[in-house]
Amino acid sequence: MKRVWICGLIIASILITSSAWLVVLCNKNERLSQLIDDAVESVRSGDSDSATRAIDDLCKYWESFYATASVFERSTPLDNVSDSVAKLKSLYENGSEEFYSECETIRCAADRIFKSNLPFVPDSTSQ
Amino acid sequence: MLVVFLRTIMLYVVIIFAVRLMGKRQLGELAPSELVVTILISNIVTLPIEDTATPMLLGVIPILTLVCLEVIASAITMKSRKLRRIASGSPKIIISNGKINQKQLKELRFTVDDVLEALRSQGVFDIEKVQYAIIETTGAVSAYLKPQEQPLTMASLEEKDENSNPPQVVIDDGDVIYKSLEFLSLSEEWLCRVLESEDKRACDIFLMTANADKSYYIVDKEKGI
Repeated sequence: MKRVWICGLIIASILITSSAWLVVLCNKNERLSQLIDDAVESVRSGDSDSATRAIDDLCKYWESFYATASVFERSTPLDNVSDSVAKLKSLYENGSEEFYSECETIRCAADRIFKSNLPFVPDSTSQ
Repeated sequence: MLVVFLRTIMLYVVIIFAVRLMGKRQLGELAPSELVVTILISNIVTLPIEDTATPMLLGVIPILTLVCLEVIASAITMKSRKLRRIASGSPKIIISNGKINQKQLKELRFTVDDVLEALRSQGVFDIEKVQYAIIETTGAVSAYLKPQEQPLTMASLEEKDENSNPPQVVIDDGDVIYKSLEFLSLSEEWLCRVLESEDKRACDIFLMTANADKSYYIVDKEKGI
C-alpha cells in the first residue's frame, strides 16, 4: 500500500508541475512579446539609446527564458530562437529591415513552444 | 561525452528506483501489462541518453508515469478478480486426464512441441502421465501428475482415492469461484454448510481451497491490511 501512495504522490506532483509549467511559460511568453513590442517601437521611433536598451533587455530576458525553458523543452527550437535573438543587435546597427521580421520570428517561435505544451489543439481563430 | 556519461548515470539511478518501486512482482515472471511497461521503459530511456537535445525530464516523466500507473493498476486489479482476468487473462487447462485439449491449444496458439518442451523441462516425458497441465497467465506450463505417477510421500501412502484432482481455489479474497465448485462436483449448498459450521462469511475468507473429497483449507483475512 505504501508503494501505491508513493505512486499517487508522484503522479500528482507530475500533474501539478506540468500545469504550473504551462502557467510559467504563458507568463514568460507574454513578457517576451511585450519586450519585442518595446524594441520594435523604440527602433521605429528612431531613439537610438532607448532602442539599444530595449534590445539589450530583450536579449537578457531571452537568456533567462532559455535557462528556464531548457529544463522541460528540447533544445533545438530554443537554439533557433537564440540565433534570431543574437542577430537583432547587428541588424539594428546596420539599419536592416530584417530586424522586424526577426522580431516576428522570435514571437512566433516562442508562441509555438508554448502551444506545443498544450494538451489540445489550440483554436486557430484565436491566434 | 561527459554530458552523455552523466545523463546515463542519472537515468540508471532513475531506472533502479523505478524497478524498486514496481516491487518484487516485477522481478519474477512478467504479467502482460508488466511486460509492456518493461519494454516501453527500456525504449524510452535510450532517447534522453543518446540525444542530448532532449531534456532529462522528458525521459524521466514517462518512466515514472508508466511505473506509477502499473503499480496503481496492479493495486486496483488486486481488489477485483474480474479486472484481474481482463488485465492478465486466466489460466487454461490444456491437458486433462492425459488428453490434450486441441481446441484450447489452437486458441492459445501453442504448438504440441511447445507443450512437450515445457513438460520435459519439468521432468515429464509422457503426456499420459499428466492428469492436468495448465498454461498460466505468464505463459508458463504447470503439470499435475496422475496420483500413481507422483513421487511417494508419507501422506500419499495413506491416501485412498487414486483419481484425486488437485485442490481448487473456492474462495479468493472473499469472492466465491463457482467454476471451481463445479469442477470439483461440489454444490453451493455444501459451501454454505461449511461456512456455517466454521461460523464465517465468504467475505471474511482470504483463501479457501477444497478437494473433490470435500476436505478443505481456510485462510482468514487478516484485519487492517
